[in-house]
Amino acid sequence: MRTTAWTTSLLAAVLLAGCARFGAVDGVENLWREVPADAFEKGVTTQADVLDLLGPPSQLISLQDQTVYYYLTDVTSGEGKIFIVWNQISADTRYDRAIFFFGADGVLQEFAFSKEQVAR
Amino acid sequence: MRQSRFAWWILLAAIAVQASCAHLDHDLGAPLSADSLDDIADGSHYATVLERFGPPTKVSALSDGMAFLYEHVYLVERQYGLILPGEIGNWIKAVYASADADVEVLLFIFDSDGLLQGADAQTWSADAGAGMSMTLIFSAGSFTDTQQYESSPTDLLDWGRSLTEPLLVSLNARQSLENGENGLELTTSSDGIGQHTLELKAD
Repeated sequence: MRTTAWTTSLLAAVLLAGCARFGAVDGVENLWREVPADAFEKGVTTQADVLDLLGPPSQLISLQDQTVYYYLTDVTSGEGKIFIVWNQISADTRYDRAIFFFGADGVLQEFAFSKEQVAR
Repeated sequence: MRQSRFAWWILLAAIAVQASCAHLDHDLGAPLSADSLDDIADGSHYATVLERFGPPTKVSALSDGMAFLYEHVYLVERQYGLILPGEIGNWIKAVYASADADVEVLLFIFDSDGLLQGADAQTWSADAGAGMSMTLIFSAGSFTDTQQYESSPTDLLDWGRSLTEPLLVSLNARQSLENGENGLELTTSSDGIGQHTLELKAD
């Protein structure tokens, strides 16, 4: 009788196990992964060109004689395994970045994309 | 033989109802390759750093140049649960949690010509805090305060929210270390140091 009760409890615990998946996207849309590589050319591309192609940056930084456009996409995904006795939740946040340095004349001096990228 | 099997059932069931534990981890960003810092000599142009490491986690203007900060944080939280004795134990369990953080940082300082003046890499593990909670039996969530490790670069987008901060925090925002124009701070920095100490008076 007692064995049956314990077995039932155990069975209930197993049946109550579950899992979950979650995710979130923050920041701007990483359009720089769609634009052709030759769309940005040092000494030629202007701030207006970048704004036209990518939209407003996540951050606009004023340096001494430069302006920086900083674009960021932030994607978090994760999953959870609930086994009552042992539970595990893992989350992974990935960043996709692009940065553009313009001179005082508004022309592109340097730019870079992160090696790490996220799917759109 | 039957007695032995019965004992195993009892043991398993006891484990199931008396205790539980959880493992939570959060990987923020990609690991940094600090070794490749050796190839970048003082005087290198900032384009070299961009080429090697890509856009930094944070960038800031300095009075005579600028700074790039790259960060990677890996958080692990372990939870140990115990069912309380008596009737309340049917619904509530006590949970103790502790968290650790593995942090990687690369910092580059450039002069007004964009030439590297100094760079450094650091890697360390920190005790990210501990917490205790009474919770329903079937729940799994974080019980430690690791917000300072998890603040996202997209916090920079919260321009409007800054207008609703307490007065001293709003006044201090003009010298903020998050807007890229007044310097940098590590994501892991406490609010109790340096420039933030003015804001603590608002609490």
